[in-house]
Amino acid sequence: MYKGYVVDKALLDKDPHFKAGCVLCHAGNDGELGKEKAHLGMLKKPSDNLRSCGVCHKKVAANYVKSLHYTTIGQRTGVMSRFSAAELKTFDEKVFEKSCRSCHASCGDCHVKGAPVGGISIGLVAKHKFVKKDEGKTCAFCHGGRVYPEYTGDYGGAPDVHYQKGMLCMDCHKKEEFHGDGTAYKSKNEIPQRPACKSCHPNGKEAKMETQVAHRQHEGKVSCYGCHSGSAYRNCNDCHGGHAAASPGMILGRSPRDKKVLTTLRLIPTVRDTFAPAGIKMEHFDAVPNYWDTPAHNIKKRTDRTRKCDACHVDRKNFLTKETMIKNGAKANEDLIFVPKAIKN
Amino acid sequence: MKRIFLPQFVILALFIVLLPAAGLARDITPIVSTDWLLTNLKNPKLVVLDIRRVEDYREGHIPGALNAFYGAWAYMKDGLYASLPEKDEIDDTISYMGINFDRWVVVTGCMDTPRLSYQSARVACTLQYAGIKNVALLDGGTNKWIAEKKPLSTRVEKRKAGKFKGKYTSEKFADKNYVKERLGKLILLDLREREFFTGEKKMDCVPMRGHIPGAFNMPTSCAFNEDRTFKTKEELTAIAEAAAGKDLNAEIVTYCDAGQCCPTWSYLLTEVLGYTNVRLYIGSMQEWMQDPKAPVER
Repeated sequence: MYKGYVVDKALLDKDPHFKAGCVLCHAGNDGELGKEKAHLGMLKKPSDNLRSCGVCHKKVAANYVKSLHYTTIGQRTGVMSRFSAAELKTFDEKVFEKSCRSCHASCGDCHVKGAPVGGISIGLVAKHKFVKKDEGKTCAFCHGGRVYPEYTGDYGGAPDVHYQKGMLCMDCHKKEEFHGDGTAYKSKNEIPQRPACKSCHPNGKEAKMETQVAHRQHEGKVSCYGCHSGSAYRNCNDCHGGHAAASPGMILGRSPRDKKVLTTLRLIPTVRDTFAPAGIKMEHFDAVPNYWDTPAHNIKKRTDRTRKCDACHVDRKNFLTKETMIKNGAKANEDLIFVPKAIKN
Repeated sequence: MKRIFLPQFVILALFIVLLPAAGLARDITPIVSTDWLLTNLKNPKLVVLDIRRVEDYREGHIPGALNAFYGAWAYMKDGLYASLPEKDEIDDTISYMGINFDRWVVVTGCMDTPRLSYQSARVACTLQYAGIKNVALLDGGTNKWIAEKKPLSTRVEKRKAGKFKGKYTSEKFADKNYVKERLGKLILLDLREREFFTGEKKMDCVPMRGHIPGAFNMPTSCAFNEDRTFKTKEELTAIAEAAAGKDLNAEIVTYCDAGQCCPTWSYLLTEVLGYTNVRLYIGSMQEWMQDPKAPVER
């Protein structure tokens, strides 16, 4: 049944994307009046083929094909150390292409119509307008499991101080992170344009002397998140094994990437039987921890740790211990335990 | 000598009598209309505080309004949904907005749902707690402003940050012990909807059904018209007197489920109707019902 135009008619004259008609992107046959014939060969998501957008946005499309949002290779990088060579091959064939890759975003998923997540889409972002950005709809929809609600305070706890000050995702994350810069990075940690707290908050510029001293004393030893993460964040206790659960918590421990640094850790959703349905045992499961350093998006200027040295050095609140560690986790988890020393008077 | 003494005595007596009133004096009314706000938008003393989500603020807001999301004023802490931030955090938030004691602060928010429409009063109460006197609520919130097709801006407003140090009052809030110790001696106003008061329903965050013994039910929704503007002073007076009585000096504590609704009536009772001794129990039923020994009535 005809339900009217999906495109806001007022947009048609304003936006150059519509100048050559729907067929420019969606193909089909605009010379036919009947639905069946008109829709023959029609593309529902034209930007699934980046060449569609690349006709006009050549450089962006060329870079984007190598970007992490498109390749989703970061998911493979994160888990591959647990596999033997044979297991990695199975993973690539049975899991990565069929499961992980389904999360990749094409141009239209951010600029026109929200990507389907779990089969649900937010639909057109703004009546088929080609939007530059709309973080609350696009970023929030795919990253709404943990990052976005953590940032806005919807998950519990105070909103991130940057949100309180009116900032959204792209005030810190620049477009090069999304569009890519032409290099096929294997992990977000390799991206040179990643935001860094120090870009805006360099050491030595603090208003108070005691803050300067605290920052100097902890520099290189504790990440910014280690002290400034404001409240519990979402941790994935288990997943893919037939059940999934997430619970809030703040976990402090050594960064798996740099054991000298204390930081916020997040429990990732890979457990021993995660890939059992695909016949993957994970021969090296114990070599990689279940906790990874996480840039918690719930930053506060003042926390119980910035207020009181005792919060860490005496009370040792939120620190990962053998007792609080997940059961049947990787042996590598034990390397992340950090016991803060008492302060000498 | 007597001729001189008498006028001096009268002046002195008047000064003493009027001093408290002068201290509480407002330069703006506690509830301002959208028309008043439009007329006063360029007043250098005025700060419009838009407490909606950042995403909504960026789509369009009252020209010149600063964005200070509600979550900065009340958030989950120690398991309680709408705890009061620490004083230094409130100072930080107010400082960042460039607000000082001389400003007229009009709080406006989203009125899409009853719960959202109660948020402005919570922020207003927090500003008053910090010692800012000239605080007002925008009648009908940003929804009314938009519905009336008044001008909107998409410019993200910033003010030069100040150094605000609050003059905090201990008389604005009550905690669980305060309520427990005074049970039977104060007027308790349960500001939830009737079915929550009677125990027919309960919020998930509240462990048990029922209300604090002796409490009177005065639902927050009763303060509003259908369009989310406030009822007239006469109507509010009639509702308040039925539940809280006519004694403006009576000790009153308002509570709800989690401290999100109860600031509305607390603000109205104090600022509009002239009740002088009203406190908010922020922990409300979420905290009260966690104690299995706490007295409860159904």
